[in-house]
Amino acid sequence: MDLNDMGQLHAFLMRYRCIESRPRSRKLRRNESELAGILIEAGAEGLEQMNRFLAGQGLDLIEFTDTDMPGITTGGRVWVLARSPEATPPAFFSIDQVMARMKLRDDTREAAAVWYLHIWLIHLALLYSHKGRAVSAVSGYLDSAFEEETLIQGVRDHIERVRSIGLDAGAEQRVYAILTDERGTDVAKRVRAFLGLMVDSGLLGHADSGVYEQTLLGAVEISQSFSRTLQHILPDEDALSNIVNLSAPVTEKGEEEEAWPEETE
Amino acid sequence: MTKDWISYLSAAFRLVDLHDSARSFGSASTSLKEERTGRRDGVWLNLACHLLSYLDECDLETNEGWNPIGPFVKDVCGRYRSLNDDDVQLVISYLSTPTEVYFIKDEPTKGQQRVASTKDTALIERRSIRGQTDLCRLTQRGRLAITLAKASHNWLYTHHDADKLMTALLYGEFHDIPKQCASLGQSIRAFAHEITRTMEQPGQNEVIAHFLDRGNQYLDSIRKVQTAVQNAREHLGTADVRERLNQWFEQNEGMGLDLGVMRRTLDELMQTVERLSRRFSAFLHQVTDTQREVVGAIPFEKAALAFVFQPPSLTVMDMLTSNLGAWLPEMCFGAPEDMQGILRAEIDRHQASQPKVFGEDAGATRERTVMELFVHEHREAMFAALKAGPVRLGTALTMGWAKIGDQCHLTELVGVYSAPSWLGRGADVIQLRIKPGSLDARVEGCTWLAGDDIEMQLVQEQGGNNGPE
Repeated sequence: MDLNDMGQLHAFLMRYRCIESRPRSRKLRRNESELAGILIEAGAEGLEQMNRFLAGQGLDLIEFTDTDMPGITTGGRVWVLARSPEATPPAFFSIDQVMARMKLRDDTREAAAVWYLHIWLIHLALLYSHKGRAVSAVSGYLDSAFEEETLIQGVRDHIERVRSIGLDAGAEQRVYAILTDERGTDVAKRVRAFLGLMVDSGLLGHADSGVYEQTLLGAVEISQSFSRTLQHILPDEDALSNIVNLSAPVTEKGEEEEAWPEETE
Repeated sequence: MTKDWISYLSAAFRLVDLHDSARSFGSASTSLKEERTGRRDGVWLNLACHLLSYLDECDLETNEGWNPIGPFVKDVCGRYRSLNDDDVQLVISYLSTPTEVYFIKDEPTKGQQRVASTKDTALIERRSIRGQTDLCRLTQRGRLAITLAKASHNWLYTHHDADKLMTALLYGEFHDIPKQCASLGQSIRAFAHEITRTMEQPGQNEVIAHFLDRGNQYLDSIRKVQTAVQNAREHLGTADVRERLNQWFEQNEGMGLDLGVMRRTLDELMQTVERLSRRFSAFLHQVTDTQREVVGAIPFEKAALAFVFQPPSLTVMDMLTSNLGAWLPEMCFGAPEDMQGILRAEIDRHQASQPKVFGEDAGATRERTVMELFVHEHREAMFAALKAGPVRLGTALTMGWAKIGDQCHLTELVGVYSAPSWLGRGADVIQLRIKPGSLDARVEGCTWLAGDDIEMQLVQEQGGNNGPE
């Protein structure tokens, strides 16, 4: 693997976040086959070389074979460019662009961030909680398809729940105001903006018209980084039960077996 | 023991149900009955499994001879206090009475299909004296069932399948090799995925304990598979096999199978086994030497609700997004395909200016390039719109400028937006601005443009609005 190969791999990965030697559900992208060939030929040593180069940017190139993971075409390989759980994401990763695309009308930066966070959590509920899927279950990416409409409805239900609890019960005023100040088709627009961003980031993919599914990269990143990030911010179980008891009962499939945080063996 | 039978049986139940369905083609659809008859305590199945396994053990010694059922009855009566002889007789009756299975059979000579049936379903045979069975033995069908049940659960037997590769080579049944390799590869992958799933799920202690207990046996089995494939590969290189392969190849031309294909298939299989071997070793290492960190299911909806009461700060939200959420690179990384649009326009122009080889008017009037045609078609409308105010690429698409008649001219429209001098006025008259992330348009139903939008604006000669974004 020479510098030219590395440069080409880097450019492609920055753009698509993933290289598949035999894609499962899409056509090969331009140069993808050649780049997969370079990685296969370079072997473990080449992958390590590429990873040394990426480590400085806080990134990991992870290889999966058909033996490692279901859903990879027989004889095929997949490489995903994941953010390293050990390092800070590189400086050229822009959150500003993400937030700019989340904004509707004269939204503040904070409003965009709040909306992103809440839609993201509801989307995680669809991918994980509703299916009783463990956060570590990377292979569950194969069975993660959901409809755009389902996510929109999920977010609407969430907002209804927030409304029904109300400010008196102790909801934070600004967040409450941001989430309940939605008009007409705002929720649908925000969800679509969110989905567009997730697809551009390689975390979700189009399964069908109006149907999205988690990519292998999306599943890998959540499984690697959840316990180092989101888990520390989540309120503890007691606080959560108190809050949930305030809201109207909502039927949630497959939550019977939910264990709160982590199991270490 | 029952475990082997359950994984064997559970794979067959739905097929048996379908066999028993009385529905005929086209009749009104009815909902499926999911309720099985019976006591639902699994006791009869358990007795049957024990009987089969008892007879299997006896068979090792008696070599298909008759076996007394006395010891079995004594053993099970000790286990189930209220069990009597008649109960055991019932189990024997069930297993020894054949039932008829109907299926459709191909008739290759007539090129037709016909309904056939078999009664070869009894698993044991019995010999009765005065209406009471005293001796039993397995039928061929019963022996096959035991073999299948054992194989259904345990990967440890896979190396026997791998040995079949060598057998196929020895017997010169070369057409079997790719099939054998594919089926072995499939079972290796299924086993590796079982390991993957075990590692991902919390509370798999029982499965992990099983793997740990028998880790060496599994490693041994993997090694045996490896050796079998290796031997087959080496054997394929011997002069003897090659000669037979050549003969076979002459007789079976057109099967798309030659030495190269076979070598590659075996090589790929070898690599798959090697990957499994590494994976299993890593798995054993991970569950014994280090702490296994597995995160179970998390109620994300509740978490979202909790964040309405205890919202994280903006900094924390940004940290979350940059670590786990969507991200876009702040700077551009050029890739060769970025230049694709320009190349196409160049080729079009080049082709358009080629003199015609045949035709009388060669060299007379030069044909307009596609770009020139495009500018000619839309120039006036574009200027008219620009005079009214800035026009974004996204808006231009909705105004139908990406088309002339039914022809798509998206490349040219984007070209004008990249180099407005095409419109025939100096670049200083038209200003371009990037509007981050606001482009989201569908063109011709199948092309979807998303990303930064470009805005074109006419700059008035006297100053005008030209402040940067």
